[in-house]
Amino acid sequence: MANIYLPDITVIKDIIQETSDTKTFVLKFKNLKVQNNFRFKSGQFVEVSVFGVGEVPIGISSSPTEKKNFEITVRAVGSVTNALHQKKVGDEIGIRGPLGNNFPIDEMKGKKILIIGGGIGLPPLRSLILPMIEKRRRFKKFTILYGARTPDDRVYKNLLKKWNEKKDVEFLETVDVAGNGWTGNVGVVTTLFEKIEIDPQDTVAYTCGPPIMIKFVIQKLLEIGLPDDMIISTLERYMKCGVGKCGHCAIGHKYVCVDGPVFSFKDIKTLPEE
Amino acid sequence: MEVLHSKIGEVIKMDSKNKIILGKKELITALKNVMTKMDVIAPIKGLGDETHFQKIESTEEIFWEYTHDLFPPKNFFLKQEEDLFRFSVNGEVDLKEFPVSQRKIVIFGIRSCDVKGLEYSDLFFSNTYKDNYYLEKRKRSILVSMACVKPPFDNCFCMCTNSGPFLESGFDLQIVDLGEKYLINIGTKKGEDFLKAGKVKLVNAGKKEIARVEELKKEADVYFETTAYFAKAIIQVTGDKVKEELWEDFGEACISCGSCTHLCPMCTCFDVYDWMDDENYGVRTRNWDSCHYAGYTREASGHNPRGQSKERVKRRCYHKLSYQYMKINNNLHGCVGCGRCVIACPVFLDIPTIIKRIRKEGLIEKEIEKV
Amino acid sequence: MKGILSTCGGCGCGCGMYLYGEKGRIKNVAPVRIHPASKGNLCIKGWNIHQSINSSERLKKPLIRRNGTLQEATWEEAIDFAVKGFKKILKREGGKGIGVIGSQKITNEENYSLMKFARTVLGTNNIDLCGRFYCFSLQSEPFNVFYGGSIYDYVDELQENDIVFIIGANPSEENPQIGARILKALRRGVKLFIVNPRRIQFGLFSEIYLKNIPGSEIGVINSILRLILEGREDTEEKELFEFLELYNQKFIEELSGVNFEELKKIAEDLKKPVKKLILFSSGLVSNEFFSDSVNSILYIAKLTASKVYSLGGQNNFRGAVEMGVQPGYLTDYQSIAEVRKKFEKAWGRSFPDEAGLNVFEMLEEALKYALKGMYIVGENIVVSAPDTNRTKRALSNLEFLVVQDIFMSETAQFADVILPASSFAEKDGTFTNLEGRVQRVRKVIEPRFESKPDLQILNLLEVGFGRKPKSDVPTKIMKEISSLSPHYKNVSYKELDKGFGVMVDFPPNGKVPNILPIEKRYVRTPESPDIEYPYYLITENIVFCHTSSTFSKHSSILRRELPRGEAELNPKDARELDVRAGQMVKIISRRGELILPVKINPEILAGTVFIPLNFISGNSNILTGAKVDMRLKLAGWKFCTVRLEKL
Repeated sequence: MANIYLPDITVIKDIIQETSDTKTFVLKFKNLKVQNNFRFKSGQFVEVSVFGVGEVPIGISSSPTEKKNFEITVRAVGSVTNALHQKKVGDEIGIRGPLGNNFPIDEMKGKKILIIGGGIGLPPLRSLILPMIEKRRRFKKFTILYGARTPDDRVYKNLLKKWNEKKDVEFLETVDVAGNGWTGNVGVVTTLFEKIEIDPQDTVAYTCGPPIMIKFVIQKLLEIGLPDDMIISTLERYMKCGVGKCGHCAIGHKYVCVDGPVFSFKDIKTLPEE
Repeated sequence: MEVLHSKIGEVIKMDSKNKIILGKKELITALKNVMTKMDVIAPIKGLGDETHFQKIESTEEIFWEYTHDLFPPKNFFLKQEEDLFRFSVNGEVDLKEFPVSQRKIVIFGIRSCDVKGLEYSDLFFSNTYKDNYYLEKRKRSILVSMACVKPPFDNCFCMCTNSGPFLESGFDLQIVDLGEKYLINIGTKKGEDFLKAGKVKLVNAGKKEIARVEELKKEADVYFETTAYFAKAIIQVTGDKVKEELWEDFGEACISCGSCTHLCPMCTCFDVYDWMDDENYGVRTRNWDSCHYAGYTREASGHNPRGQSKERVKRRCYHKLSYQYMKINNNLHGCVGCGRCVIACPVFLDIPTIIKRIRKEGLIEKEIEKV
Repeated sequence: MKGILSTCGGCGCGCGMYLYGEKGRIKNVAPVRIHPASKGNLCIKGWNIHQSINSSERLKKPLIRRNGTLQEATWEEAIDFAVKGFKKILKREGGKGIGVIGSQKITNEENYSLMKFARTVLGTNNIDLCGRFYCFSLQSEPFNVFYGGSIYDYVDELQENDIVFIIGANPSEENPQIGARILKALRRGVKLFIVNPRRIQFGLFSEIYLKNIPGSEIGVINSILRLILEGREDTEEKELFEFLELYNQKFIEELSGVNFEELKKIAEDLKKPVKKLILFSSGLVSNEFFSDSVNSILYIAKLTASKVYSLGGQNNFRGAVEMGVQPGYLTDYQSIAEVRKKFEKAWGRSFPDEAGLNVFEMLEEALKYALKGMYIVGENIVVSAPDTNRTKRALSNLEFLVVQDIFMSETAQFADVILPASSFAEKDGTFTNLEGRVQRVRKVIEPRFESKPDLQILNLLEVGFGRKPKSDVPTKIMKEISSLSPHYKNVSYKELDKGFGVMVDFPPNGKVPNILPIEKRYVRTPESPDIEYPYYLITENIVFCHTSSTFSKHSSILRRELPRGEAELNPKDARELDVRAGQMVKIISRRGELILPVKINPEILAGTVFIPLNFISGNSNILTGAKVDMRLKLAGWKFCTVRLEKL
């Protein structure tokens, strides 16, 4: 029987400093066979092990179409993520996955895509945006809204620039607090809604970010008239095993690690308030 | 008569061919034979009238008039503390799994309520992802249960949860004490393996013995009191009709000791942590955890969705007493009526008391419930 | 694999537990259904205590400080180094140059042997417990309150009371079993009165809940006493009533902030002829008016025929006191003056006749460079003593420090020699719980790594000093103890093995409960707020660890449960300071400072700040002060004043 708790070993191929406390790690499985068989879908996560310190769930932030390696973007917040930030290129860490469910993409063919990300919520959305942009013509419209606390806190700065320059993608970003010569929008991400047109009949919205941002974004989307099952978000909970056994991430009868982390608002409504 | 399938053993249809008779001395001989090949865990006598399920070296240790072990048998499969694998971090990372024993274990004398509890945890640990640590131990285990003819102690209520005292399935063998001899129901192929290893001469049960079992079942109906009426409580909990004041009352009383969850045969939560043996070698271990502990849901940012005691008590009740739970779990109740929480909880937050108070619309009663 | 009956090392409740050992680790912890105090229950500490015992962060080898750094050494080297260090000081200063601190967590036999070692080998009566900072044994002088003196009670009988009055205590956090019994009593319909500046569990069920200004408990108690004395005809009581006339409505409401009408109700109920219980704990102890507060409570208990209970700190606090780990007393509260000859005869050794320094005085002397060396066993004084900076200064002044413990601690960081000791699961011995029940702890696994039980370590030290090796067999030591201590005369391993231990609270050895004359009137609270330090600081023990958390911190679950360390403020104060939740503030007292995030809590009394005693990144003793109860030499620790600065 396969050991669902035993990680595979990956080697850190590259580390990119995104912001003062966030880094992107480019990982490749040490065992080529494992790397070749590693297939994931947008929105899934992996359990990252820093042996001796612990394990944390991190969303995969690279595109599923990239086969040679994969990426995770991590903010240093607790003991494991801080230990991870001390690692250098060539160091080895453990990975279990891919785990969890995924963002629905194929069902949304022909729709208008609206993606709203906040701060550290952009990494899992990146694994969604990249493959979707590759098949841009499948969708009627493509809008990305991104909000961060300050200009320095924006992740994937180069990628944001690219999206801004892309002609068939509508890209707007904002910061809570301006600084550093910032000339763009200032305000929370919901202020960007006034600058775009959203068709409630034909749009599907994907949103990721701090819980409070998600709450206001969903409120706004409901006001605009989007149906419940066309609002897709992610839920976060303290997780341990990632495979629906330890019980920590359970909300009601759902386990965020198995039935999520991607939930439509229709599903979220059925969960008990917590 | 169809049998609900048990995932771990192969199904055997229940009919008169699968009921055999065994004399008392012969059972002991069978156990002696089995012990040469398998580890036998049986009830032994502790202090006073306490019972402990432990591995025995000789059949003399078995305490035949045993009551109930406060410690649940889930401990043999989901250990209180269990090492998952070793790792070495000297430059390259190397992972080593621990060797898995192949020796079969027999849990002899396990009660029907605990068998039902294992039925639930078998389902739980094999859905979606299969927990190899639990399942490989279950695979090589044989459950030889002893049906309860009389309640083994004051607090059990298996009749309210459809988990005893006589079961139709879930066991590998079920022994019914007819007085002078035993009637044994063979439930699965593993049960047959036990009888083979015990070198038991199979003698089919006759009509008289089978009738006696039915008599005993009727008598049990009288002896076993129904103390917890689950249905109404489940309806109220599922429909969210329980007063908030009641949860506040429960939350104020709960001392978050976690005893109810640790002793409950149906609770399975655990915590995972790494520790270092020395600079280069370490182990990842898992340990029983409880949703009643405050830090159970606390996130790295400090935010805690269930920071208050009442939220945790409410959550556990919803988990055990709602209709959704039964649907997901093959119509199993969220409780097996073993009565351990009734003994262990020092503040009257055991399942029967909670059900009673939910049923009575959250009216607070001032009489002594249980002392 | 067999389960062995032992006693939990978590707190003073002394719950029974079965421990199962395998391959040098504890693999199972199970409750004992028929145990008289725990009745089949274990609290979060009990269920996870095996993690601390199994921890790989245990002290593995002896350590010696050479050239400023701690290095591993053999037992021979470490003992040799320790003995040499002590001898050097003893030669110059004699016994008075060394102080010894015993432990509330080690067994009775070990504390007894430590006490004997200190007095007869080191030649010093400077031996004490850190419990002086936050616990008190009602059985001690001057109060002499034992069960059978109709004031004290067994844990399980607590639920039979009709009125329960809790002051300065948080039972469900300090001793969960006691909290549970109170809840049981509540379900029966008992009336609950609570006086505590902070919201405690069961407050929802209380009839009267008074949030008093921290430190004003003495005023509240004397006010109630006065109300009970009202109208009494006996001359002595009439005199006392007039003496307490200060505690009238206007005064007490101003001093303590509580409603006088509610106090009247409490007094009325206490006068009723029903079963009553008054429960107090470190909230009163860590206060310079402690002895007077307890004294008044005993007076109230006498007048109203109530029972009194003080909560029980660590697993062997009471045992440690009763084994004579005290500067002026030998075992069983017998003073040196009373029984010195008896002990010298039994021991065949002499020891000094003057009472020694208590822990508070030891730190003072160390600050003055008058105390040169210390031997600290099983205690983390840097964390448990108030005013952390002062304690650190005192320890760094010492010439020589030997620390004996299970884990590396903040105190051990100052040591010259560190001796690794074994946990309660690795040795035989006894603990005395807060009821006075002496229970067995039994060896389940071999001492882990190179640790040794404290008894063996003491023997090695004695041999190092050239004494003949004494017995290190617990049964023999207990025989000696019971021959010298009246309350322990029925305690023998044979008796202890029959069931769940032996009670030591039977007919007192001639001492009667003693209530002292009430001679002082208090007009203020300790360290009152002023312009510089306008807020009261309240700290409190939490259920996940006791006081210094050295043991609990090493369990992954208990460590997870430790609070984040936040300063709780009333919304009104938060508005005045213009701080919001999560914002970092600096909390400054006369003695130290802490930087913590803010948490808004409307249940906190305005004008107070609450910081838990222990949290993930530290503890709050860096702020607290060291005002002393002069009569009993107990240190005030809970209350001090602070100011907050926005960052």
